[in-house]
Amino acid sequence: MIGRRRWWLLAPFLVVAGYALLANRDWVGGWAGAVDRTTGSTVLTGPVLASIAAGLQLGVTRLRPISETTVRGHAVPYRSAAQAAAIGVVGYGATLAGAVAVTLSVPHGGPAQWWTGFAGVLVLVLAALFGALCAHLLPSPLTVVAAGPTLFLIGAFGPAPLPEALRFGPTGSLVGLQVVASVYLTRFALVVALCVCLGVAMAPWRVYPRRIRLLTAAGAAGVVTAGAAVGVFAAGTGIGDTRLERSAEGPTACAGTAPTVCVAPSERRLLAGVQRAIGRGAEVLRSAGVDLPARYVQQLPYAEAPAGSGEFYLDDREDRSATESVLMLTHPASCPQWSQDTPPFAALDAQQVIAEWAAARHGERPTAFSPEMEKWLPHLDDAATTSWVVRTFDQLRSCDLDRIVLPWDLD
Amino acid sequence: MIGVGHSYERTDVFDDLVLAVPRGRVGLIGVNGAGKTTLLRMIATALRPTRGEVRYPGLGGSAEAARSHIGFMPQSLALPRSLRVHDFLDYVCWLKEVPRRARRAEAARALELADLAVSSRATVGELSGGMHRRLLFAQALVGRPSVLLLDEPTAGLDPEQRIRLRETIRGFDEVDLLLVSSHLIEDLVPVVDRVVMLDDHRIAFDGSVEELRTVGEDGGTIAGVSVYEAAFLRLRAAVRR
Repeated sequence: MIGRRRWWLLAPFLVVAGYALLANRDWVGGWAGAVDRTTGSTVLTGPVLASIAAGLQLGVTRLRPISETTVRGHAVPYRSAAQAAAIGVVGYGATLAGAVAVTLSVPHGGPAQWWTGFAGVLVLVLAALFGALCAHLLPSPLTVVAAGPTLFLIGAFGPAPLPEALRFGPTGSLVGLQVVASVYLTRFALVVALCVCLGVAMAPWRVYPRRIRLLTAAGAAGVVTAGAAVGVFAAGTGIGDTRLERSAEGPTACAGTAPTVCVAPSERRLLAGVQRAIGRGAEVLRSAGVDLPARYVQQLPYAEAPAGSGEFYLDDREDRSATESVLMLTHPASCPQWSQDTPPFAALDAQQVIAEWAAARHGERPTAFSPEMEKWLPHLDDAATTSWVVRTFDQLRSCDLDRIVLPWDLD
Repeated sequence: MIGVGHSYERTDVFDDLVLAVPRGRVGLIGVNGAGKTTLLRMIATALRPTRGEVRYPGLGGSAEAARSHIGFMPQSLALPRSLRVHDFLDYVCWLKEVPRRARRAEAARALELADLAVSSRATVGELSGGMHRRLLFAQALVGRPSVLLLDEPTAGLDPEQRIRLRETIRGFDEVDLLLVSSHLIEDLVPVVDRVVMLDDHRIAFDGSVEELRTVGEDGGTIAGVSVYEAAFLRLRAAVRR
């Protein structure tokens, strides 16, 4: 585009970025999630930017009778790509600022690999080059419309490793996790190689003498070969997988006593709600004489709860029923049986029975999950059941899961 | 230009053309479709000849090097109506590697030389046909070229605007070579010293304005036709024979 009035083009970019950021809010509160979500927004903003770049290039194509006789005539598509990339980088910065602001607006924390955000910049540069190249080769309004969706489809369904080059994040919850740097850097190299290929493809092939064209073609072939090699290497090293590893983040954000509830700092915004739920459940269990651990910690990937601590799976629900609250307490120890190939079915059922029993004591209507339980429900309030709960909870806490017997199976 | 030929969709626009264009003011005349625009675009480096070569002695030799010395005014250019005149010239300054800080002054200089007075916020849509042609003339002057190529600069203008633009071009003397094409000989003769006539894919005439006049006067006058137009008709007839 000619002139200084191109910044309105930020509007469609920011609208799409805003949608990408806020369509799902499960990342909110953690810095790793904020960076990952921003990077992931380029899955949508990249195609938008490709169309913007195509539009910018199409706008100057009509001036070709002049530009093709000037020193910088060959640089026109690069200029369009650079202008679009500038819009993209500014928009990306605004998206990141938005993610940071949203994060700051709630209790927040956790580590972050801020450098991974650079992936988004690379993807946007690639998208800008792609769009400018499309309109350079096919100067038509249709190209402007098609450039973005085409790039999106390549990212979604293109041959490997193209999707890996275009789709960084969002990878889901990154609580307790971090990306493997070598995989990410390999993907960076792949995107850079693709950018070089697009840049070479944009070069003014027709105007150069045969010798220079041959040299350039050889250079381009070299770059493509190098890019392909990077792709093959990347595929071989697992670039297609979302390579994550355990981070240094532990459940260190704690609140309350008896029990103390701890979550990862990235999930600090959920701590108050979880503590309320666990406190409510603990009250019911304690009143029946159950001996609870002094501390409950959030389950994190690749991590075990400290000895003596219970653990719970954390979701981002605001309200939990009494059943759900008690269910959070039914992992009073980190037992190896939970992660075996064959899960301890009796223990799983026992957890549910304990939760339903507690719900009934809390005034809620219990739900049976099997015909046997349905028949047994009238005995829910028996003293024998209370004794079974205390005994079974002890077995859960001591990882004696194989000896758990459901109440309707007792003699 | 040595042995230059150019084909478009397998049709020869011209073949084995040899033309030396020294310093001065040269007019390129020919009927519509004679190849004037193709020849000018070739000299302007926009087109590569399919045969032969265009040399640029004194301009760095190669087409790439010559570009920084050439100003080109195309026959037509559909500029967006909402485009500001100054933004357009700023873009041309970028194309011609005018330093950022000097662009405003360079645009003002070009507008002044083209005798085009517009406000800094004027858009292309606000310009008359004559002003639009002057704007195209002004953009060709950006970067202070030593070679100025004007393709049908007065095409589509009413008589008054044609005369005004012709006067502007005639008064312009800041280039080493001015090459103007037109299919109207009356527009060329007042502004050039030498005339090259293209016809039937080759050069039918290459000489001074005086020599062209002599051609027109030889063989008597033709009723209702100027002496230069008579020369043009006689040269075409000679080519046909």
